[in-house]
Amino acid sequence: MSTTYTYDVVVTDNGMVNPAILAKEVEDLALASGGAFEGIEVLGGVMQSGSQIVGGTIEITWQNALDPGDESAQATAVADHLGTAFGSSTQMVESRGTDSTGLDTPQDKINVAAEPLPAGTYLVTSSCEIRMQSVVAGASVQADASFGGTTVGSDSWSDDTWHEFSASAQVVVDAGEVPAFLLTYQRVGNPATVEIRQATMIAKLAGP
Amino acid sequence: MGSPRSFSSVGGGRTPRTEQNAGGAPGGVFGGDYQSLASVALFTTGAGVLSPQAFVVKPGTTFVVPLLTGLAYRLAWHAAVSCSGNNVMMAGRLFNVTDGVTVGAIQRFQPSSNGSDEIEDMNSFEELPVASVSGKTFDVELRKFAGPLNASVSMQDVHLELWRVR
Repeated sequence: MSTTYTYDVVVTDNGMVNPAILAKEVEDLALASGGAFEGIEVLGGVMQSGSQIVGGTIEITWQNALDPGDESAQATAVADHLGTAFGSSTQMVESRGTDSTGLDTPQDKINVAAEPLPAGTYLVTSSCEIRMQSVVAGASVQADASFGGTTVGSDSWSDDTWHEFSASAQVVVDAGEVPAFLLTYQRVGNPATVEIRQATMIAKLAGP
Repeated sequence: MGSPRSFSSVGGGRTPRTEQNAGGAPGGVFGGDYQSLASVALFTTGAGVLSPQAFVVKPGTTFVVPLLTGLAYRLAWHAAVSCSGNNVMMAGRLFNVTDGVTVGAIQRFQPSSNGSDEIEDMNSFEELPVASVSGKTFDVELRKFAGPLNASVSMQDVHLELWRVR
């Protein structure tokens, strides 16, 4: 016997709901008394995009009835829900200019949060050019790319000619996450100045 | 605080909710030879549900056909549908609840664009001898056919029409 809890969308923080994100938020509550979470439906309202609904009624269904504490936690989660719309499922950031550093700790070339993403597996690609400003024995430049904390790739180079660094990786993202596109560069080894340019990062939805 | 409501599942789906049908009552210029039903309200399902989801009834689409006098009728439906991402596929169907069979073809949709705001038409029809139409109940159903756990599918602007062809 399933139990369904009903809420007017108007009680949410902005009077709108993104069912996919709300489902993740409710799941994250790990409400043990409910048993299996059976999903969310929204009746009525007006579609603002394929993901954001203004108005209507939210129905949240559990395998079992929630105990009072869990029911209160769920009501709080619904009230706090922002109803944020998803951004594009293909997102790109770039930083084309040349930057340099002499530091041996990671320096940001790109550090930008993605727009809220639909759930799925994303193919993330990163590319840039790196070089030593001048060749120094025992010194090199290192670049590291990540997406939401997942490593996309790393590369290093010790010459003063531009070296292309490109990498790709698959990253699983849950509904509404805003993973950071992060590309850093740094000196490794003996004191020297290192450079980076033509940096781009792209995340493209590639599968369920 | 939400209000709990209990129900039991039938065949893996959900029981229909309170209906708010428009049309459907015979008695216009065509009498019982033309009947229709509209359910324009938005309905969204699938969030937090594994794929493939069992078909669920689009609320407001239960279409009860009374006794008919012609030889054959055509039954058609139309809906506007959308998905929360372009890695989500949904399916919709017109279902003969009385006999447990799909009317016409099951329709599928997967957005092709990068955004989640693509809306698609879904429709189908079938010509039926009166013996297979009279006194039966139909509804329009949808499900998330493929996609992530936390992805949703929606349907709105559903129209059902039944008209006599012989």
